[in-house]
Amino acid sequence: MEDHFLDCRGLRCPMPIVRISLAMKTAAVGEKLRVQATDPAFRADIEAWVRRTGHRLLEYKEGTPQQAVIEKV
Amino acid sequence: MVDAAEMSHTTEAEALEQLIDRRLAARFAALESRISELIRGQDEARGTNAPGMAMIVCSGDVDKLLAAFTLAVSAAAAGLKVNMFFAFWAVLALRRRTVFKGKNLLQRIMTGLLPSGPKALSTSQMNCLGAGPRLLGLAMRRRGVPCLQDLMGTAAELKVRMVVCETSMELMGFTRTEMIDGLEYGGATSFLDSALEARLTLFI
Repeated sequence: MEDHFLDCRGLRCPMPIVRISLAMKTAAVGEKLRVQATDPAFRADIEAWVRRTGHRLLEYKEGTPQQAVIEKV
Repeated sequence: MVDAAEMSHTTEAEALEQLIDRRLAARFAALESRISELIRGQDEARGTNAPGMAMIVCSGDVDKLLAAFTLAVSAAAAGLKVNMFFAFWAVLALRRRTVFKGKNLLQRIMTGLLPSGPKALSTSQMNCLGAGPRLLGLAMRRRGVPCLQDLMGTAAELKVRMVVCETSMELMGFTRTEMIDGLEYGGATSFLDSALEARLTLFI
């Protein structure tokens, strides 16, 4: 079960990533964040973002909306 | 007699103990402050070692400013230290209000002619006397793309450093009182300083 939930549906680049980064700042290490998004660039962006920041992308599901679960490292 | 001797012995021992305690406490306090100093230094080093991005933003076109701020915000969200240096027409985006008081004729003309703030800027193409930016804004709102004003707010929220070229600002006849809050003012050397430390440098 995730500790935080973020609804980024309807938001476009770069706002989903901005919201995620702000949410991760307030989360504790080991906590998980579930994100829903509809931005077509979301997959590429979230993958690059976790590579950059070192957080872990535990789950990614295509669809409407796209679903991602990120763990704070 | 014996009692008195014993007593003086005890007080002596106590005094010695107290002296040792005091000295140890002083020593520990010094060590503790040194440790916290080192930890602070380490944290600072970690902060300054974060990869940086330095941008010269020169254009006052809304489309180019959108690109600049989208990149700045994305970089800041990924933990990069972002430094934006606003030169020439880009200064117009950071203008908040128009002040004529205390300016000479040339400065007043410039102040009156030049746009103020992100909403008054034109697009580099398809401007059509201001219809272009309106259409673009409408299309962006429909698709949930953040407008320049939102991006500028987000950049400030993410602690993107925004430095205004003081010479450009003065050339256009503006004063600091006409600019938005949270800006720094500097010259080319201050940009070079941040650019040399950055891993990524862009000119927009």
